[in-house]
Amino acid sequence: MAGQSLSPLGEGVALARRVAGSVSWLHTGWIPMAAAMLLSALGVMAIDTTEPGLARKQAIFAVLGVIAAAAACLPRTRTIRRVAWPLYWISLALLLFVLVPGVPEWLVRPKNGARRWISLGLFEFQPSEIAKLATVLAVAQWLRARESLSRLGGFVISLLLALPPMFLILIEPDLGTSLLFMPAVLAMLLAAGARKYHVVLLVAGSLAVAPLAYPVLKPHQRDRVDAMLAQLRGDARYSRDIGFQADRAMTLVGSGGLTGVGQEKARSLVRLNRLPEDHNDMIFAVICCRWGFLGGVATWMLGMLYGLGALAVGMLAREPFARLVATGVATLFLTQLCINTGMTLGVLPITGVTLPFVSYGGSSLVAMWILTGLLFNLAMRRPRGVERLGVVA
Amino acid sequence: MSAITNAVALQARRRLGLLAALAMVAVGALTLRLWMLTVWRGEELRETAERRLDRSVWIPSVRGSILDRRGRVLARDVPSWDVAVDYEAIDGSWVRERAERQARRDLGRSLWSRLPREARQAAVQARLPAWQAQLDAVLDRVADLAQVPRSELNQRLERVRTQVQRRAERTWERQRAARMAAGESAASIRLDPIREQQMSHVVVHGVPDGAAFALRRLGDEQPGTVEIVDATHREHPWEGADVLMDLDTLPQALRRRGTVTLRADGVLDHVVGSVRDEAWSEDLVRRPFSRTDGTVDPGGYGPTPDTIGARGLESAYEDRLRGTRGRLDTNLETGVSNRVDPQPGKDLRLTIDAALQARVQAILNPRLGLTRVQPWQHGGNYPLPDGTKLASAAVVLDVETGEILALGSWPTPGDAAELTDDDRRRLTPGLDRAAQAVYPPGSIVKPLVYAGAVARGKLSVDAAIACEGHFFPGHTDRARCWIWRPQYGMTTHSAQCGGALDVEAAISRSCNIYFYTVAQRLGLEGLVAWYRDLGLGQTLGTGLQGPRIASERGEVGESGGILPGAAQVEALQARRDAFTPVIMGIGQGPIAWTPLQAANAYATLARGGRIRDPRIVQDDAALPPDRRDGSLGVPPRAVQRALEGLRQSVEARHGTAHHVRHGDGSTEPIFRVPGVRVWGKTGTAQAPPLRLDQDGDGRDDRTVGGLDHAWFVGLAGDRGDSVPRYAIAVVVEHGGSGGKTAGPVAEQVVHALLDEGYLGPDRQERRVAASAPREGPVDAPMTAPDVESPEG
Repeated sequence: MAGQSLSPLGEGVALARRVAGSVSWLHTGWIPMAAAMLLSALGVMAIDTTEPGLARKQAIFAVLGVIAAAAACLPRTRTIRRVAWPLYWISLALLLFVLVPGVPEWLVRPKNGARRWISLGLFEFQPSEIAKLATVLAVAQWLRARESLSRLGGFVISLLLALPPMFLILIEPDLGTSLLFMPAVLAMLLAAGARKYHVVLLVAGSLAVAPLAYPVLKPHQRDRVDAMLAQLRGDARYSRDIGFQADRAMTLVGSGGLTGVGQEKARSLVRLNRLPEDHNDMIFAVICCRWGFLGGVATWMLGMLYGLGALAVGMLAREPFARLVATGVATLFLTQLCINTGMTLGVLPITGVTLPFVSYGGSSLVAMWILTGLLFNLAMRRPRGVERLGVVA
Repeated sequence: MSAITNAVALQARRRLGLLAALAMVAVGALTLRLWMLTVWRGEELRETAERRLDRSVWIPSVRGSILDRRGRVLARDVPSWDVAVDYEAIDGSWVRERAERQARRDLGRSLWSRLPREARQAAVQARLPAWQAQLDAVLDRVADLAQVPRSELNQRLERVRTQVQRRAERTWERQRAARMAAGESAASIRLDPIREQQMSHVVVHGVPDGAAFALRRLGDEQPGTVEIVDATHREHPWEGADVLMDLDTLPQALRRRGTVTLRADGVLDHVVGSVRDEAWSEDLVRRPFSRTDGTVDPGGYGPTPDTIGARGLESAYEDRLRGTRGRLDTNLETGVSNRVDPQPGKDLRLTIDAALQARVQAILNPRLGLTRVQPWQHGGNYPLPDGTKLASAAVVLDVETGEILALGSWPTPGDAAELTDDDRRRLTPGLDRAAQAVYPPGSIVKPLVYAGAVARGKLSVDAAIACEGHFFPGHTDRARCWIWRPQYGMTTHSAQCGGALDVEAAISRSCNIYFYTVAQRLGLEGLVAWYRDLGLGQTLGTGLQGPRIASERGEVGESGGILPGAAQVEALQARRDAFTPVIMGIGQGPIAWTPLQAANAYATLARGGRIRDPRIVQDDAALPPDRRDGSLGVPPRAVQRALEGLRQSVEARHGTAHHVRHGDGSTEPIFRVPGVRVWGKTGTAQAPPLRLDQDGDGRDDRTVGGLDHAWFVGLAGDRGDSVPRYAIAVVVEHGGSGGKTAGPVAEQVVHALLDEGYLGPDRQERRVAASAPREGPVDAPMTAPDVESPEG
């Protein structure tokens, strides 16, 4: 563009006009946005059942999240692509930082024996949340250029990109979060054109190998697998100790019946049944207790709205980067949704994965909103010039 | 767009569609699972969740009391307060934790987190003494209020600590072994503290209210140290009694003017028994609190503290005495509570008179002097030294009803503390000799054998039999009469009486030959059958074994004695043994009975053969349903003559129970109770050799032979009564002569009956108090012939 010297106001107006010209306001990005609002509201209400104080905090974080999402809408796609790799390396550095021994506890506060959080005075955040975003962006950036992934090479490198963060998160320890990476990367591979055969092979291979991981798991993780298997068999022997959380969760889910027991009763039942983590990991049990089967179904509906909306963003995206990022975000969300609700219902072992937007947790909420904003961002871009052709720029 | 990217885009869209479908399938499956939980199992899970809103607390019930015939309380539950100390205060963690907490507070969070481990330890160490002093102050206060010396309290705490530590180590061993067997590495195993390390332990039972409230306040001020536990304990008020004894009714050698107060310990220990506070596995099996089908039995036995009968009637009547727990259900949500009251156990009323029993126990105590080896009891050549304490038993029955008025046995567990180790081994305080020890009856059976032979038509009522000194013609060395001995001048009763003896003479002189003859005429089978009819060889369902029927009773609580069974009778007959059947007629050979059976046999005789087996409980419903009944068909004339023989035995000069002869030739009558008539028979039964452990090395090294058990069994009533009122049986183990040793004891028992108003016009009541044991020296034992000053 020819540089004309304009007044700051003129500069601003020109920018705005340029921005406005390059976005459309009718796009699929609204769907995840709306779903995120509704899910956040559901979360605040559910947390309010047992912890009104935390519910207030969650509402504040939701507002912060929306602001962050708006901020995530500003950068152009090109900028985002440029930021992808640096962000990836920074997130790895942060993950390493969290694990380094000798770091003072005011900086890295252990919670329940896990070193996952960095606290910066006013607020704290989890490097694993940044890692999720960064990995998706980095893999998308890597894959967008590969026209065909019939060769195993490109395939493998994408996986290799995911492994370091996965590993670092796994040894925090945080098994649950590390499990989210693989499905997202595989989905992105699929979307990028990898041979289905390769992907299926990989999935089948991991499922076959997974039981071999049992001896490598930590004792408490093994306990959880044992407890889940016992529960599914109908054996109640662990329901007082290692199976306690799952047992109470299922009891409370079931006690909701078709339409739930209402707020007062749900509060008593949840409290007196001593449901652990009733405001974060097990929030779905609180939802089902208070609103019953219908409440649980509504949660899934909203979740599917978000996930399918994100996939729709991907489907209608004109260029690969956006498609891949949308796929990654959608898969992250849907996997987390299924793992969390699955473990609450007793079909998966307890893994410490929260319900996105709904569970209490400022940093995860804000992180999810940023992802949503990103989706919105990608969806609203009208492709310009050469970018429309989907060619590398 | 280029063709390739277009194709890729289309393919991508298809695949994203596939992912969407996959997601919908997953959510669909989860929805199904949700349906199963909420709708299909919703009711059941809702109930489970709701159930946790209810808290149930079991309310302990009260155990039934045991009372004597006059309503005196022999056993009852008393609410009390126990003092419990937290384990953390015992093992030092209380002090350490508080010191550490204070160190953290003092130094501040940031400084604390920066300090290295050694510095932290030092800071904690510096603060330990102050906290230890606080704990010591608390424990001092506990010792003071509970009236336990601080050293004693420390001992109890230490005992708790070692026990819990040992249990913890054993538990962790097992857990560690199990976890390592399951594949865990030793380094990664972390074991939890055991339950006992997280609870408080009772160290003092039964503190008074004031102390309890003060200690509760103390516990509130210093949390985690001491707490007051609401407990019940079982009280046995007649555990010990002080009995005022009249010394001028004693035999000459022991007689003094005035009275002495004798402490009788364990007066009802054997009869009433004791309780324990822990359920054992057999209780849990017999009547579990949590049944196998999932329901709960409120009266059942659980692992929680409980009161359970351990011995005696507390144990035999456990089911009756035990109540059922109540329940307090509170709904934690609404605060509404629902209470089911506990049902107390049923009381048990005994036929025993506690005051009479206390007197009997005092009489049987060697401290009085009658049941120690005394020179006047023997000719001077007794295998046991003078002063040796002797075990003994005495039973008093009401003839008409069969009620047991007294069931005395010495020593009781309460007396054990005063005995030397040797004596304790020989005298076995745990054995209730009145109902559980068996002895050969000896001459006691003679009137019974006569009655049996007449009843079975084998002897005429007026039978007169001569005493030739020995029974078998041609055998002068066996089956002899007791006076056909060198020390008596080899005389016979026929010589003394001038001809054949009738039954009165035979009983009063205790002629062996007469009764060998009668036994022979009755025959072995007939004799054994007669003994069985009299109640030998079986337990009698007195209630000492609870309400159980004969086939379920066994021999704990009451012994059936020894009587040849059918097989043994056959064997004896096959062997053509002529000796054994005959000596069974004088109470030797393969028969043995308990003092209770002896008293019962005499009571049956006094009743004219009507069977009224003894009973210890008043409630008919508490007795076994299969007690004997009926009549033995003894002709009244025979009863009369037998009783006359027993009367003469005591009242006639020639009777074996008439007098005691001293070494210097003087005599004194055995029974001198005014207004009271006694019918009785002495017995001197050969005892098996006594094995002693002289040097205390745990092995018996000396055998003492030539000992006899001293028996006196008889009847008593007011002069003027045609039928005796009470049956009395006394046995003194290894006491030697029945007349000389057991006779005076029986005489004192008759005095006791008089004093308690069972005989004679009501006399001035002698005080018998149930009081706490006195500290201090025991009464000086009384032995003849030293003259001792009367007790002040």
